[in-house]
Amino acid sequence: MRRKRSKQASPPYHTDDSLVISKDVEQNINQIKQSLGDPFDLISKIYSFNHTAFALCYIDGLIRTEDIELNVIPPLMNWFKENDSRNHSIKDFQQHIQIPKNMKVTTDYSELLAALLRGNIILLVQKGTEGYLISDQYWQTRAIEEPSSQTMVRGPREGFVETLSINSTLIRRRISNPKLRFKSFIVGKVTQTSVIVTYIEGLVNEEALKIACQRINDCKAREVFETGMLEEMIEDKGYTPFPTLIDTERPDVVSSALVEGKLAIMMEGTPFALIGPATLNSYFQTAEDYYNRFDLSTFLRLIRLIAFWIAFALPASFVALTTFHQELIPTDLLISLAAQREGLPFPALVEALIMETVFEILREAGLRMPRPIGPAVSIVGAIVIGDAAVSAGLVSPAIVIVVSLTAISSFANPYYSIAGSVRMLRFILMIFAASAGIFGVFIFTMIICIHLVSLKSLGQPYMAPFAPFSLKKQKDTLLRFPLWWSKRKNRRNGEILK
Amino acid sequence: MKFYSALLLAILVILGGCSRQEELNELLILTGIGVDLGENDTVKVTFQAVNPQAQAGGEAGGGSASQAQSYTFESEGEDMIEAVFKARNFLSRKLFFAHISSLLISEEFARERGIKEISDFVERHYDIRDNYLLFITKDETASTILKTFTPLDNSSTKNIENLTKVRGGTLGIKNGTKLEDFIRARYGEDRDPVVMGVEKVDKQASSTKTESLNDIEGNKGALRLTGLALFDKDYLVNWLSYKDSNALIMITKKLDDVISYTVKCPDDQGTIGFLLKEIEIKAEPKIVNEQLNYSVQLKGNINLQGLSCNLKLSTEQGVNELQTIINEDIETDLRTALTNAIASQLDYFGIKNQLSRNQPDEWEKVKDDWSNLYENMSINTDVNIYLESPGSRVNNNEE
Repeated sequence: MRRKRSKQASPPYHTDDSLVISKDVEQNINQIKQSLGDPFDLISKIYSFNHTAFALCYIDGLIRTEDIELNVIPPLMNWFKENDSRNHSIKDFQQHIQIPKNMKVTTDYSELLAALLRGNIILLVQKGTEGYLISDQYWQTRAIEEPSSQTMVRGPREGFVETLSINSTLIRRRISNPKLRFKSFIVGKVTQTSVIVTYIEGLVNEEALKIACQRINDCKAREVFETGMLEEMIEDKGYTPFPTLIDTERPDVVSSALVEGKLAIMMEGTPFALIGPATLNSYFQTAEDYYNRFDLSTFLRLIRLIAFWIAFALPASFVALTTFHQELIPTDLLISLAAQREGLPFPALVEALIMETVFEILREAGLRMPRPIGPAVSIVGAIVIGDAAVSAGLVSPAIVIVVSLTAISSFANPYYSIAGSVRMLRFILMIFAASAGIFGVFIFTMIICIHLVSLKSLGQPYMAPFAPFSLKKQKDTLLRFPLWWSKRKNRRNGEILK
Repeated sequence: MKFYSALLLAILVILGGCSRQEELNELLILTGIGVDLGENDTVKVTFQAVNPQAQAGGEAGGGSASQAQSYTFESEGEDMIEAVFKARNFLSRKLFFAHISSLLISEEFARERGIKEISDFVERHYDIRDNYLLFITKDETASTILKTFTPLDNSSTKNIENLTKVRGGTLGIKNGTKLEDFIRARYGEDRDPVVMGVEKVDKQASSTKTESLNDIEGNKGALRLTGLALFDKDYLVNWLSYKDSNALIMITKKLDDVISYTVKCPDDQGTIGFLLKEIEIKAEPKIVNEQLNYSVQLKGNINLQGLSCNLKLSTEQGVNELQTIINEDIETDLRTALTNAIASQLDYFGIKNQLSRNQPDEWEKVKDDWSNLYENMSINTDVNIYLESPGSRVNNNEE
């Protein structure tokens, strides 16, 4: 994969392919220094003997320095002292040197350079045109903490961190199965970011896996820093306001998705993993659904669905009902709504748009502001939205209730990404509602439904198992049946993982 | 191209919109309509409309509490349609009919002009539904009732609507009579319609001002349901008494689950009051030997509420005696109601319709001779009630 990439016409930021590993150690070290622009953190040292010499070269901060002092240099010194001759091979190293690390040999200079930048110790030997790569990645990382974007009451508290090797360990610890696979890719012409696709062989949806691998391979991005960027590059073609891959920072969510036959994509430098193929239904499920009792989980799922619907349609329905279908409102409620509307300057739609916009501004401000200012914003926000606007006669109290209920409902969704889609669609729906009442609401809902059934995630239908419908899979959709009921899964596991 | 067509569509949606949009403060929410006879044979329509500023729950709206909770507007015209059109000349808001709870027609109007033209207008109107209550105002104009401030409810229409919902009233009618019931009886079932009546409890007192609500005497603004108004086709002819109304309601199965009932003890020693419930009634007209026979069977349970006769309920004999007294009394009431119906020559029990359904062949033979047949109708009644509970005590204090 990398080889292929390096053979392409090289932009200026690529290594010159004409460079090779020469037989002279010192020349090699100089060449590396030159290629990297003689950086301050490149550490290199040449050890000379009678007939031979070897050089160690690494980047400070990407490896464990104690390892070099304890586990790499002493055995090498010993070996070279004892075998001060021309014959040496990788086998000799592997057999006779006790370096408790992976060792690889390469003759390709650009691979050598890439490995150096990825935290390998480079070992070069006089008169040899091979470079030895000792894998010893280790760098400062954040401790494993509770995920802040997806919290739960019951369940593991571990979340992914920004280091890929730690993240993969977190999954390994949950699925100790020999069929668990990690497939590595490099993405980003400039950033050369490591990406891994993980799945369980035999369980994974082969078609989705093929599509995912192919799209990651074909990815022409210059840089990727977060899985969100990668997601945009590998999604199915065509515009959609909905996310088609699930993002999560919970290893238990990823593990359970893997067992369900999905695949996960993880990346160096971000705690968010992508799960695919996603279905709309999967955005309403949390890992906690399986940790709680099934009846409670079913209830909570329905609540989430209701909240989703409220977040999507409540302001629009309010506008439609109060401006087009007053006959649908119970008389007493209508009178009280009419009383609130007396003397208000704006039509209901404008009122709703103003309040929704104000709320979106507050939410955005709450996210972006420096933490110490937090309380100030929330106090001002509460007063502006909740009280002053009503007392000043700008908006009616009813719209404040509608907007706050909508706002709270949009937070009830376990995935932030789909809540964001609903936030945008809500505004469009409000305009439809103000144009044609409930009729307009239904037109737009229908447009969204048609769009959703045509949507695919990694080649799999987004609305499964509703469209195409599968009765068997309804066990874990809106309802969650008890686990002892789901025999299908267990049998499948049994056959494949025996 | 695709983009431009999508853009065009979006613009069309937005531009075409808001055409029929009405904000709540552009509407005059009507709660009731009254129809009276004006001078020179005109129709006077009274609209009762909500004043939202005064009715708001909570502090919003800015209206002061001293404002009237409803306003009425009167408009006159050659017929009802013209009167409604003319009302638009002086009302600054759009008349909004969808929340009307009752339609009131004065007794005078119902007697002299009939309610045909009203029913046509309100049925045809796209905004007005059929499921509101229809009332005839006894001895009063409809506008007097609409202009009354009632003590417990926000408006008089709300008040009479609630009156029909209270269970266990003397009338015991379920859901009241609606315009659709009237039309169904008049045109669908070919029987003479009955409509609920409403009157002021205190006819002298005026309570058209909010100040009247400060008076502790609630009766001044109170309204009450009367016996049913009896119609011959579209014209009001008579009022039924409470007992007759009750019998009619029972036999035509429009009864509430529970009704309160009183009968006199033998020898006028006192009264027996009870709740009649779980009533099963079977009323069937039959032609036997070219004679019309109407048999009514009633079964039911009673809960005793009051007893001032000398009956010993602790003995089986006493209980049987009580049941017999009640049975006979109810039988007498039913009989009287039916006899009155025959005397009035109006078929408000729907006997004609029932007969033509049950015995279509016989009906074909006798239908030309109906009035004669109806006049000579024989009545069988069989009432069988069971004392379910004597209440919290058994005998009365004197025993």
